[in-house]
Amino acid sequence: MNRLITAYMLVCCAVFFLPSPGKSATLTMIPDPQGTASISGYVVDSTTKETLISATVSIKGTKLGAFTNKSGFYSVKSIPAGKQTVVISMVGYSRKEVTLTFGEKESKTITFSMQPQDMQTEGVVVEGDRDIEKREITISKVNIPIEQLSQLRIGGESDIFRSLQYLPGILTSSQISSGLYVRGGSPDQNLVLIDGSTVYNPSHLFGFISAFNTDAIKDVELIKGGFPAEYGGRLSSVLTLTQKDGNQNEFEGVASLGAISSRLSLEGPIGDGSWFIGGRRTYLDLIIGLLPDDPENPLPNFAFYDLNAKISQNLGSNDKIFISGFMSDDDLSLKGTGVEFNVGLGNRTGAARWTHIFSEDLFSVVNLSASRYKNGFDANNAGFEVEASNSILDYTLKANLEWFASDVLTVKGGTEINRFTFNYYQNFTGDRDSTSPTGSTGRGTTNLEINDWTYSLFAQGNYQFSDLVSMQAGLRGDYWKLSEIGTVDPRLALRYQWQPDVAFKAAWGIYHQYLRLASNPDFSFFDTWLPTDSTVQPSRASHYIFSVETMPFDGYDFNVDLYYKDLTNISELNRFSTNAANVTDVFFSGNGEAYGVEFFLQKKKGRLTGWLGYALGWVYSTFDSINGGARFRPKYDRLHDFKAVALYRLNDTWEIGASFSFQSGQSYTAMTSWYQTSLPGESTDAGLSVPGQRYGYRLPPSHQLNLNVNYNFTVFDLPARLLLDIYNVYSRRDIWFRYYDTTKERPTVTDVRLLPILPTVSFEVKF
Amino acid sequence: MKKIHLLFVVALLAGLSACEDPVPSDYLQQNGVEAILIVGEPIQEIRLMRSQDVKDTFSITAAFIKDADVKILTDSDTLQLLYRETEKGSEYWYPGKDTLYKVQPNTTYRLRIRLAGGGLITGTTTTPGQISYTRVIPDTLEYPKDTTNLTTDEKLRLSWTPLPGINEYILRVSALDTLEYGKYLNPPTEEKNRRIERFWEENAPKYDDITRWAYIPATNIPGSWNAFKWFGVQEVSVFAPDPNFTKWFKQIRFGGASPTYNALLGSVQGESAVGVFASASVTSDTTFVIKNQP
Repeated sequence: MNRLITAYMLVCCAVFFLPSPGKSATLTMIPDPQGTASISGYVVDSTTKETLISATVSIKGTKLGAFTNKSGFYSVKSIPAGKQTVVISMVGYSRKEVTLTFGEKESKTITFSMQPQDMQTEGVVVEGDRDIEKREITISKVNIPIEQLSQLRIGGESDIFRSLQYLPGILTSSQISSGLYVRGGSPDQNLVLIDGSTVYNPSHLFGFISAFNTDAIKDVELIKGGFPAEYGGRLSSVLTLTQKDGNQNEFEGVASLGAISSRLSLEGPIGDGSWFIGGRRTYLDLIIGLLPDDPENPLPNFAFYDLNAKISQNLGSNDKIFISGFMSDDDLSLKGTGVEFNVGLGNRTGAARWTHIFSEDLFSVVNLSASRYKNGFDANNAGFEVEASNSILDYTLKANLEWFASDVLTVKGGTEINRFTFNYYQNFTGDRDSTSPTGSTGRGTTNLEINDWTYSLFAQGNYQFSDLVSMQAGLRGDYWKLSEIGTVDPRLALRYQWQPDVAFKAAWGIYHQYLRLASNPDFSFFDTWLPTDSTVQPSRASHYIFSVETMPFDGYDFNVDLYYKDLTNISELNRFSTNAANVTDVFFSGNGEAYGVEFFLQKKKGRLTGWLGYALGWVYSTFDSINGGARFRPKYDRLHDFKAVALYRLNDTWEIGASFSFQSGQSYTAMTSWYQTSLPGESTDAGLSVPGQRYGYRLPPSHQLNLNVNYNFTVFDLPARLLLDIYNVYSRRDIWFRYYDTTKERPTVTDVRLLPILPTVSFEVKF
Repeated sequence: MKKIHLLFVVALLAGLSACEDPVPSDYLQQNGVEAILIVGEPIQEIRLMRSQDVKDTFSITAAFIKDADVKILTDSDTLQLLYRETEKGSEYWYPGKDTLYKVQPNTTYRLRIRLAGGGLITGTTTTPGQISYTRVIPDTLEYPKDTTNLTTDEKLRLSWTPLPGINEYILRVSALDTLEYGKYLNPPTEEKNRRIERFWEENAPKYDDITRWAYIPATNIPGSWNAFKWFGVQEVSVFAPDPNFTKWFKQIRFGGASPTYNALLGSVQGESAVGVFASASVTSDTTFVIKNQP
């Protein structure tokens, strides 16, 4: 292994000091062709001045060009002097051509504005765009336009996570869970970033829907594996969400009244920039508040809300400052005769980001953020009080520098410093007044505070050897102060353009994860994040991915991904641990592997958009303390996974959409026998069933069809939409879980089923 | 072409068959052991039974393994257990040599069961020291009139001696007479006992459900009115469990109404063995819960 990493580091060093093809190496490392010019700047939406991510900027008639980065910045070098046509394009926007005259060695800084265009317009992919595509090395990356995500509503709510679950290779613990199980990884192995801040519990309703309001998000990018060195700390995937900056030209808003929640978002100009604020909340608590109290038949009270806010300011042409925040809260309570409980959980994130253009080829982002996830519950059982809470607070400073060294080489490097504070408090003594001092654990009370620092460095380079071959090599180093563990994660990705419309990609990387999540996948009401301590090593994964990416027809992408993922020191919660003193008391530690193949056909443009996906995958785990040490497949493993999403715009008034999924049945553990038990003084107590192979059997397959219909009209000259959603059209009630009911004389196999057909109507107006 | 179609259909069926398994009907017999020694009490109520097919009704008579050789060993002695049938059912017990033997505190016992077929089942437990209340429970407790806002009463408070090495205790509250109520009053009446109604126990079995168990990680608790399922005479006991008993309690009580056996929470080893060999000391007291209304 060490030899492999050493060889890899030599490759990395070579990449950073490679000359441009066909040019001799000099001490200036990457010489630009003599007399060429460059252009850099931002690409923005013409109506809102919102920066656009992943727009292409190319020089017509050449192979020169670039994508805009997450800040909307681009840089194109080596442009021959003279009159040139710059082509700017992006899905959902009118293609733009601008003719400019470049002087020798001239550097132009230009912000291009793009006119939004109906998605139904069939785009024509030009050769220039395809040349830019060739620079895209990152493997297993999925970009779904936010317009499509917001249109893909499940149960009346547009939900980013539920939409992502309609991608092949992304599994769920059930149809009502928003957790993402990416290629055999559990939800805690996904790095979820919103404007650069980590979100630790991105869900509402205890995991049923995600905490992100689609009105507030402008870009969603998911990397399902083999992610580059700039991302670390997680084993499986990276989900990057970018909040809207807000409209810099005029005030506008959207209000929506839905079955589960209502939303309102407002945005407008401020100074030399914009602001955005958007939120949503449920109203079950308001309805219950109108009903008379009945302690003998109490109703549970539930509410959630979330809020996104952002202010952006341009400080001259080279600097931008963004201040953004996100908060979410869920509260569940019940008060009846002699019993009362409250459960609450929520996220708070705040980030300040500064982007600075040092020069036409040097771009930096500095991000200072704080993120806190906290949850807790308290109960009063006729005077016997219990209380528990936990939180993770993370202060992060990230600084990244992106150097567009030449037309064939881009180098990115950066550092990240995190300060974590973990708090865990529990009091099961019956007296809430009886506490133990911070840092102690006693009879029935635990009051722990753990502080830790992590330091990370990364560097990665994208190098295009030729028109056909390009490579991304990176190295990430992480050091955790508490456990005094340092890790080095090499990452490597290659791209070979076999045919104009067919590219082969391969990626390999090592990934480490330091945080562990104690969670119940079916009902995540007391998720607890814990650091790795001296009793256990960090979790580790190796990814091996091979991908074929094709464009069989204009407007269609068809990708095939083969993957193998090897996992070591992964965790499984020990649900019976009550006296935990360290991480090994809370979790069982084991290994796993996941492998499979995914097929993904996507159409992003035109009247008809959507995708078809199929994944065939295997997931296995091995834990010394589980299943007698024998290998087993996790509960969420599904062998077959077929997804289809279609959105069709009939005309300006009507839009229809459908989503369908078919998956192999979830795994469950069957029982092989049972007997009646008793505790001292009892004749009989519980019926105890004896399990066979853990998760050795499959439930019937899951399948579901959802339909959406949008009717666009105007109300008082304001554009409005009436949205009809039918969840589970043919009322297929999948099995949520199966258990053996041993409370009666003879056990019965009992299936708890999910929701039947559920039609909902919602209304939306823009102003 | 037909062959291709046939191949496709076969492949599709093979693929779809991997999507679901029929509910299995395999029956794998296990040997279930329930042996919990209580300090200061005779060795009795040791149960050894075959687990039953999940399609069958459980019958302790049919399941009980009566022909095993059951021994409990101490450092100095071998206690040969005998099979008998009592009103409570079948059991293995130890009659003693001269006088009835009682389980000793702070003593290691080893269980050794030799099945008729030759299989061996073993387990080990070390008994805790004797636990005792440090606070006397009142003879009577008056259930609050206001059942909506049930607040604790200091009279309910329980405290007991901490035992070295034990941080987790188990509380048992049992109704001793679900039928009679008035006969315990002074002067006695004809009033019958009844269950305490609670909205979350509407579907609970009524007359054979008399015991409440609770896990207590403390040695001093305020108590709860919800600990009582019935009015009338109650026995309130606190168990100081050995680690095996604590695990077994979690096995039975933390796994929901229909728990599944977890080998990590068991404490017997050997021939298809599941179950527990554990010990505890216990302190008990009685009280009388007076109805808040007839």
